Amino acid sequence: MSRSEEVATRINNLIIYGLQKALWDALGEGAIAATALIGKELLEIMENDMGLKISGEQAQDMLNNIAGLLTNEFRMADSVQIEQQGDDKVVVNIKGCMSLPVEERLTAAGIKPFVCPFANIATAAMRKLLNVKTRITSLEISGDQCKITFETYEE
Amino acid sequence: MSKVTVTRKKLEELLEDLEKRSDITASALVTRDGLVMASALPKDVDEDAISAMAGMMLGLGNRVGTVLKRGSVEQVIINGRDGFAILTDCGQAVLIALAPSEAKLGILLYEMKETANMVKNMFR
Repeated sequence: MSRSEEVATRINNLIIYGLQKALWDALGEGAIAATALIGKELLEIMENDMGLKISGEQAQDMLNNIAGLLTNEFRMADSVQIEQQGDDKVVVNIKGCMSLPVEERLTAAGIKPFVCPFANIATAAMRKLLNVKTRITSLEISGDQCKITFETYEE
Repeated sequence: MSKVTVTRKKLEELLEDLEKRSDITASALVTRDGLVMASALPKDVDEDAISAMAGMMLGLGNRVGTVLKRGSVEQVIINGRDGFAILTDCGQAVLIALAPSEAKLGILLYEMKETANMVKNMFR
């Protein structure tokens, strides 16, 4: 990443932090409800504006497809592994995510990180393509890695 | 039949019963983080969007209540030109109801609180 790209990323992260903090200050835990709309919007942009096709008949195939798009096309992280565990649990392991400074800053401000592009897009895609609802149950940060767990509910 | 299906069925029965004994024309139960639990909303309503908005609205109500020292929110009333949209806190869930503008607001609020208590008891 060049120096100017680094500066742009840092500024973008500050803006995203500011937006998330404002949302949290206004809505409290209600802000978590916004993530469904955020994921839906991001998915629509990916599919309609960027021409990216998310496919996969099984949840795991589709999640691998999303992980590949976000790392290879968007270069948003060094690696992303999205794994379905059992019938009702999905674990997302992200290394070197460009949003990590935002999550760390939110945590330092006493705010539970609630927006994660990976998890939000994955949940929106599962809802749209597989008719499965999801809820993020935990988001843990350790070093340059982030682990997000969500539960799934079939309709 | 799974436990989830049974619970959903019971919740849908509660909503049907609420609509029968009041002027409420449509209703839904959603989680505070925006998942639909049971719905009797009109077909042209985007349930996912409404669920997310209900979670956010209750969150906003709680924040306003806290800042203005009014305590945690029990109900949020939207008095639109074409009718009411009312959100009622049910613990882990939010009850959403729509009613026409000529509906008796006091009775609506009372009936919604009754249903909210039933929902709370179901998940206690």
